[in-house]
Amino acid sequence: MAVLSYKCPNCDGELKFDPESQQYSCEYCGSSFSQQEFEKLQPAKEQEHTAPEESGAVIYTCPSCGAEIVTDETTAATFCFYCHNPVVLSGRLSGELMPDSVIPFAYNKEQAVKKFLDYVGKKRFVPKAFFNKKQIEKLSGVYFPHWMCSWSGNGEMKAEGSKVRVWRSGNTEYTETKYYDVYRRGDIAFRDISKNALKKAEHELVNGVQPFDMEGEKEFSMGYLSGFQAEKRDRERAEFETEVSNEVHSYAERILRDSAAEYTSLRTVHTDIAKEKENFNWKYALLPVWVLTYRAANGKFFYYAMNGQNGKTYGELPVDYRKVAVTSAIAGAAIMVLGLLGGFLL
Amino acid sequence: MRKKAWIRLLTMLILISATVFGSALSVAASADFLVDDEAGLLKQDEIEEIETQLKKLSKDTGYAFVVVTTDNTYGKSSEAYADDYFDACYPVTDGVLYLIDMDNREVYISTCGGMIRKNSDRDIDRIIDAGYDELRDGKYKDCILQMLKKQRKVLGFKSLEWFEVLLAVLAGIVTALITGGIIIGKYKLKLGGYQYSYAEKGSLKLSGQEDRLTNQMVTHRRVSSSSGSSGGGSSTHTSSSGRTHGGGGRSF
Repeated sequence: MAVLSYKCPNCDGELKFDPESQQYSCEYCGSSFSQQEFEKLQPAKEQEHTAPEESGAVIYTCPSCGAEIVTDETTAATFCFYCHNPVVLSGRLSGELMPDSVIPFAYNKEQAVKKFLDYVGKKRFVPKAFFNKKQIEKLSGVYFPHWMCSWSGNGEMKAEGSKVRVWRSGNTEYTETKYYDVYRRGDIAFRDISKNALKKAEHELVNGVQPFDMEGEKEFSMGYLSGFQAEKRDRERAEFETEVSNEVHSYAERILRDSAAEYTSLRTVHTDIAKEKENFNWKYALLPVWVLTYRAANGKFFYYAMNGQNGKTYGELPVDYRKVAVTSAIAGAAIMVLGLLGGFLL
Repeated sequence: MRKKAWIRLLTMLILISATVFGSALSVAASADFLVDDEAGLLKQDEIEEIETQLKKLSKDTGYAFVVVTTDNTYGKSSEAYADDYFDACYPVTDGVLYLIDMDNREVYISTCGGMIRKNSDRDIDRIIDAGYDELRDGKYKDCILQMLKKQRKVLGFKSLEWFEVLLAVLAGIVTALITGGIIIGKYKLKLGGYQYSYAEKGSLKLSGQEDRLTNQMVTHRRVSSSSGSSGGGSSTHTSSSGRTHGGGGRSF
């Protein structure tokens, strides 16, 4: 299996994907290359080390400095611990395991740190001065493997609906109820149903930053991973097929119901999603997420994920209970005063 | 003998008139009976409870408040019966009479003098509303007490019942708990999170659609026109004694 490290053709410095310009740039000589130019470059290559695998750890040799790189079984891109050169483990991203697409990171680390500070700054119940910038700067950009599924099919629904109309004439209130037999049939499609394809991932966290805008999806190229970490999938499509199928069928029923939203009440009599005519379309994609492990002063760990495309942040936040208590008490007191006033005046 | 018979008759007449008018006069003067339960809808302790409220109203306003129930109006309308009864009891004093008329099955409120303007037609409606459900259920004491309670509020005596205070306090505590719970739940990731938005990421192209009307039904109910503030006019009419009355009633 090959280990790749992209080098600048002008100065032999490391080439990284720069989210800001969406090009490849060399930090040393300032050169930058477009995707097309980049494709023509020959990356430095080193073959897989013959070292035996121990407890899932796999050892590679850094193409730049020759040091050993120890990786997890699922690591697909990382940095050399010694020379900090970005390396891509191409064997983990080719053949069967080659992703169909990738959404590149849309902003760099500095911007990510700023977005994170903005996010926690806006959270009113986070204790003041809880987060220090130094630690936040340790966040890392990781491409997480995802199964993306699109579905198309057709379905029909029979239901009983009623419409209620109320009007007043003088001191009399009239209520008219009309009952209908409702039928809907149509072609239904869903796109971008995503499933995290990595066992060890903090699923809740990585899911929390969804959705990604799949318009930003690019055809996969190893280069996008240069300068970031990446994981390869260790969960296969088959593991998700039943789950996705069930989900999709319930979405289909709901979307059919929604098409009869004009009814005041609707009771579904019968729904049928034609299983023989449905079509699942699976794609393997790498999605960009900034992850941060934050160790609070009291030793408690907080984990965060941030959408690498739009900055949506997700993770458990520390709570200033005193502030929450004050706010709750104010809300409660307001309602109590309103209630008392209401009882007093009416 | 004849003289004796005359004296007898005279004494009887005086006695009768004394009981009839005397009692009426004493009412007008001291208002010692405030509830006349001719129809027998109330128990003694219920009458006392109502009287307490009526006395409180009188004391606070200086007007007379009377409750009358009847099962025989001798052919009079509820309005006429209530007006005449009030005029008979209080020829001079102004006030309000609440009549539950089982004969015409109507509740009627008759106002007089200064109470006419203080109880607009809308207020009268609100007062009747307050006790109407109880009236329909045959809970006459509750009906009257509810109407008197609303009467106090209409007349501007703002007050809070202990259960209103309790409810407000409870609502406040519940709101505080919910507010705190939502904030903490969101921060601790117990609430929220990503849900696939099937409406946004999905599409439905209808190829068949049918909406067939199978049945139709119209019901109606009476609603009070009272909502919001008091005010508005008070319609008046003249009773058989020539006195001006306001008020209104509702069948039940």
